[in-house]
Amino acid sequence: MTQIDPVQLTIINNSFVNICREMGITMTRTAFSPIFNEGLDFSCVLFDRNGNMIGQAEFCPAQLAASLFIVRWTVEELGVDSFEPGDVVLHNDPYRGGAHIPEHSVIRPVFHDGELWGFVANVGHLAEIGGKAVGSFAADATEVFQEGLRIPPVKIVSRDENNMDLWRLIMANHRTPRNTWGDLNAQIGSLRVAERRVIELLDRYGAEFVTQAAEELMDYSERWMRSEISAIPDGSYEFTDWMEDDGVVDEPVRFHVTVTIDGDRMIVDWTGSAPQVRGPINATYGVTAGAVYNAVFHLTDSAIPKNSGAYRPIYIIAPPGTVANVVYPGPSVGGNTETHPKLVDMVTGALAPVMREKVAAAEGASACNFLFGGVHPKTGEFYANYHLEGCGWGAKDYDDGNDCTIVVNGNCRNTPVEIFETRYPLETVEYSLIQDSGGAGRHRGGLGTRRIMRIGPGAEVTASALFDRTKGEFRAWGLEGGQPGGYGAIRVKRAGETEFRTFQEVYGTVSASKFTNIVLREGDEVMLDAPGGGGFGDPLERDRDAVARDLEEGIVSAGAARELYGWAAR
Amino acid sequence: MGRWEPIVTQVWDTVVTPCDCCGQVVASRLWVAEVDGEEHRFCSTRCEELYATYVVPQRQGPVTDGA
Amino acid sequence: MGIRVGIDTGGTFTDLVAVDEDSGAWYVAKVPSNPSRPVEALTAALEQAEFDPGDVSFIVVGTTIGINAVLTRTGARVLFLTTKGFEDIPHIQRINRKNHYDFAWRKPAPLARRRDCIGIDERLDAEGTIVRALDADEVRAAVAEHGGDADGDLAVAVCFLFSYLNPDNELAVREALGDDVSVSLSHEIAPIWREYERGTAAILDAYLKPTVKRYVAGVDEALEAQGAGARWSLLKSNGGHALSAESSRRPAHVLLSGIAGGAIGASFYARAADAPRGVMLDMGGTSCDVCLLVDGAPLFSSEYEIEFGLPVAVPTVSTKTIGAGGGSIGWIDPGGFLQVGPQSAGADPGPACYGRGAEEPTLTDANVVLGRLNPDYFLGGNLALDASRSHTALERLAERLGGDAVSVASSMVRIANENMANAVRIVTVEEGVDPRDHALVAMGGAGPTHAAEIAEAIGVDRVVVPLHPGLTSAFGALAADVRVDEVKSVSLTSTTATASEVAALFDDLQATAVASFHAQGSTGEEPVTIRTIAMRYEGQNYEQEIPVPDGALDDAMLERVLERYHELHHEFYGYRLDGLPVELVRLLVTATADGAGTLPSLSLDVRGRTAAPQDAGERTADVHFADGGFRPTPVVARSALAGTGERAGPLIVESMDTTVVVPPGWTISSDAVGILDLRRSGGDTTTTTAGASQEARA
Repeated sequence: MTQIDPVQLTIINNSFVNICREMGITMTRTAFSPIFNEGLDFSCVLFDRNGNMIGQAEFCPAQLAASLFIVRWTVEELGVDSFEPGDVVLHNDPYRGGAHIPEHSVIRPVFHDGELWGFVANVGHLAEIGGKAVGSFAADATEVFQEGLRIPPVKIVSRDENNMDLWRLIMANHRTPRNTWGDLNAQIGSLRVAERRVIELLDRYGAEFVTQAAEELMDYSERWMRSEISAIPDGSYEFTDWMEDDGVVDEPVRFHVTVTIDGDRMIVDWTGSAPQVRGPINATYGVTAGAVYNAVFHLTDSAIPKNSGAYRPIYIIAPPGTVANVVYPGPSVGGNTETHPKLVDMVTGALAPVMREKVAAAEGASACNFLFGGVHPKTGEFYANYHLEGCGWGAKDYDDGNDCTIVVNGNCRNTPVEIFETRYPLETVEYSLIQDSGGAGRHRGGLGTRRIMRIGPGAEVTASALFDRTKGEFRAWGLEGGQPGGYGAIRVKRAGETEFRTFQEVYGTVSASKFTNIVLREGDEVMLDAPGGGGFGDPLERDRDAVARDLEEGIVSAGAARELYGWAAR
Repeated sequence: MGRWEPIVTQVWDTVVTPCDCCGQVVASRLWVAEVDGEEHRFCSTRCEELYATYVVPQRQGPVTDGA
Repeated sequence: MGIRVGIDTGGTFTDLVAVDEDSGAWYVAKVPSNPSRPVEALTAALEQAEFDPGDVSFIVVGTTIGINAVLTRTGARVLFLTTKGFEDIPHIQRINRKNHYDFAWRKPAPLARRRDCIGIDERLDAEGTIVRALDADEVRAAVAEHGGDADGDLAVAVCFLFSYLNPDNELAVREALGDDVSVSLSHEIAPIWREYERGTAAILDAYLKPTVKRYVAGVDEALEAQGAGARWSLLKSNGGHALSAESSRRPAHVLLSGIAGGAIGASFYARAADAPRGVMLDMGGTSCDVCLLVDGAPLFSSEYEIEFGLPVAVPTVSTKTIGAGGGSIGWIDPGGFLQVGPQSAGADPGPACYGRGAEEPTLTDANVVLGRLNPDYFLGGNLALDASRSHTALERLAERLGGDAVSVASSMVRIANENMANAVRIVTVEEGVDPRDHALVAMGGAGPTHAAEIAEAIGVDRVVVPLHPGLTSAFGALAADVRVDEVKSVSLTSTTATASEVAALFDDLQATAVASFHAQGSTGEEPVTIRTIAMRYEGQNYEQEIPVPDGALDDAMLERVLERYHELHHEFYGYRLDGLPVELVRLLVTATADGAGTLPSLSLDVRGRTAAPQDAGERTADVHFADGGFRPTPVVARSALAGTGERAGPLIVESMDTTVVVPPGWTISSDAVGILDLRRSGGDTTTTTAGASQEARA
């Protein structure tokens, strides 16, 4: 079957993964923005000289998928001969494979004995990159220019010398330049760690041998993926879902997918999705492809080594100019966290009728993006932060969904309250689970959380937000009679007032869930509610002991237990 | 038979070219081929095949709306 | 003086190692463990040992009582008191996922039920200022209301926001509740920021209090009855030990007592073999533990996790465990590739060659087929292995993979070795050190069999094999010293902190550490104290620990310590940020006994081992090596090696605990005491060269 001894292949594959892990450890230890070191919002990948991915480690799923295209297209565009030892290419272009504009990719060629062998790359979310909104999540942006500084593929480091003119230009356009300096250095530093390790590996086994091994590993993954797809019944499966609005126009946005299983290949076709919209919830190609792969990996054996081979049997059609593939100069910053998980759920939902024991109901699918910044009254320094929340996940045929877990496109951690209050002039009043927010079902959807924060003394905070699932018929859907999950929400209670209301009601924003640059002052409070996950199966069939436990633990209220679960006290 | 055509850009061209079939970015050269009587610009021969075996039959068949 | 005893409670066996400090005689004993009656195994081991319990002067026990209670969820019912509004922190956790593509994964259940998490109206701000003070009545009412119906163990854990900066409100809880109920305060157990991690440490402490208390009382009683009413200690997760009474006050610190022994034992041998940098490789039946050893001590971590999402924020021996052991099963994955472990056949049914009905091949079977294990001398002849069953099991795999039993066996060994090599790489990389200048300390029943080839895979060229490698954990318990780690969270910046301020804080911390040291069982001597400062660049969230040299902490020394931080950052991560303020976030003082353990001289000769007598002579057997297949290889008894100078591989060294494999290209020697030292002499073509990786860092 393979030319190289399978034992050697396993060893080489483990080495690739280990190198990527080491890159990640370096990043965690040295980065500045909490989104990196607490949130772990970065990814590390290894490529051969043709731009094929040969190794990745488990950091951020969406970035891992996008990096497939980012590296290959960059190498093709610049030309393989334009790379020299010690170079680092930087870009954040959403139209060139990126998931959204804050994600910056750095790519470094690996030379061995004078020959270009491959590339190491790293994608990371920089929390502040300029643009119209503090925290660079312009929820009502209508063009890419408002979203932040767009950098096409350029050499930020040339032969191990920083291109200081470029650094200075970039930092002049970001609101927290010191963080940019620290975080990009952390990214570039980790590339150097990876480069050393790759060279050690090539020294140990020989460059040609490792190249050959990488190719065989890709073929191996491809074979395995094809066998998994073959096991799914042939046919065409469709699903439609909606985003409640786009931040600029208060109208729902339609997404449509047809998943075709044709022998050992899968075609995921987004034709029928709406034309791209004015507000930034458009998916880039990187987002759409990333979501498809994400869904497929959830539905197939997770032991398949993740390399370009695994992606080969999956064909994606993302018509340019639609919400599934935005073209210049359309905005897309919200697509990564708000659209990606919906697309994942749509693929899962489409295949649910033929893969019911492997799927899950819809997750909350919103990262509850809350961006804020200002001058810290105690230090006089400017700060900006990208804050997000976990949402409830969908239930399965065999188990409940997890409570408050990060959206499926990422794997971030929340920022501890103690770290948050040490850095920012906001006080957290409450951080709790929301009772009854898990979609009822034989198995229950996961709960969302509620967080209330108050602006501290002397502080003025400029805030933006990008949520979804806050109104209408668009909650996380259930399967097989399972109920939808609870609503998300973002509300404000100004100092001196008694009620929380939406930003639309108080400030007249076009959308209650997507807005930019609202100035909050001392004593104002913000409430962030994360949406719950959908249920699976008929709630009347839920195991009675499980209902009793939910009641005792306060997960479900007495009213819900009676009305939804048919609970009669024993 | 199709042909490869290089993508020529000016320094002020900041827009990328998408494949007619799958929507991926075509970075340096296009695969130009005729399918079903029309000329298309693809990212690769793989997409020409996908277009011929999937897209064309799809357009000819009934298109139903899902859930 | 008398007899000093170390006991290690393993999953299957409880081991005892003892030494008569007057005569220098060594004793060992081994009895089956009984997880449901842990005290019994301890007394049974003392019973079996060939000395009079009345002669015992001191006992150190490494126990799994804590970790077992957590894994089986049989600890106390915990009432968790926390700042109002944050009762759900133990359930919310950190929101990240264990695996990327796994719908089936479930978040770990906290050790306190949601209904038992109670909000108290108190609040500190980010500077530690009390915004709302505690109301003692509210606390008492809450505990009475929630805990009043308790049937069984009840314990209270407290974690208030920012308590690591100001403990007053937490202390007020203890005062309000008095002595009626055990109270675990988060700032005492883990004075660090991150409320989920600190709160979990407090909950864990409370969860284990009654269990550990009962265990300690049970052991006290049993030792009295046996006439061994000596002082005794529990081994702590940080490798130190603390007197039993003191241990039951702080059960969170003995949670990983069971794994610390191995690391202490390994450190002892690294020192004895003069290897300042080492990696412990403790490979048993099911799993392999790997731990970095620096300057004769194991590395500690405050980020150990019981399982993904369940952290233990107290200093713990930094051991990584992977599923690779003698019982690891060889299997074929859906892609058609051979994998080894983590599934294990354990001890029952065990490897195919145990003849207990197992049909799947394990690493032990592979080693038998490759001629490395002698079926007639396994466990000193106490367990006869049936090699034909190993062959059959491996042939079954060979049918699907191609090749034959021997090629499959050889592949299994290589894959397992590579998995273990990766574990070693990860623990070294996480500390930013190069594994290649380390020595492997090989322990456990299977460690010495695999260590040399694992070393080759990493580029390490030295392996140390302790005396009685199967008993190194019990030996570690015996060799452990009192060790205290005192930590204080601070909030200082390099641009504003003064040396005298830092010196004063350290003086206080040192005084506390010394007092704890004596309370935990010192024999009167003054400890050695080491100061460390945890620092990070302003804006980063992760610190590096920089040691502070002995002597007065003046401006010049503080400068030097800060410069060292910049240097280390550059060394590890490739860049430094001069001009950026450095935050000092934690001060640490470690107090340990002065000097390496004053134990009598080690000896291979011990009382209590029942092994079949070994041939003092040599025989030859066909043994398989990756490079060249089967070749005639001398087999000697370990006892016969002492004092015979250096011998070249290939060579097999047999003893009761284990078989040492010396591959071609290696030499082995035994020092006067019997510690084995393997060195790679070069000439093996499959190994790495340092080569181009020595390039300059940018």
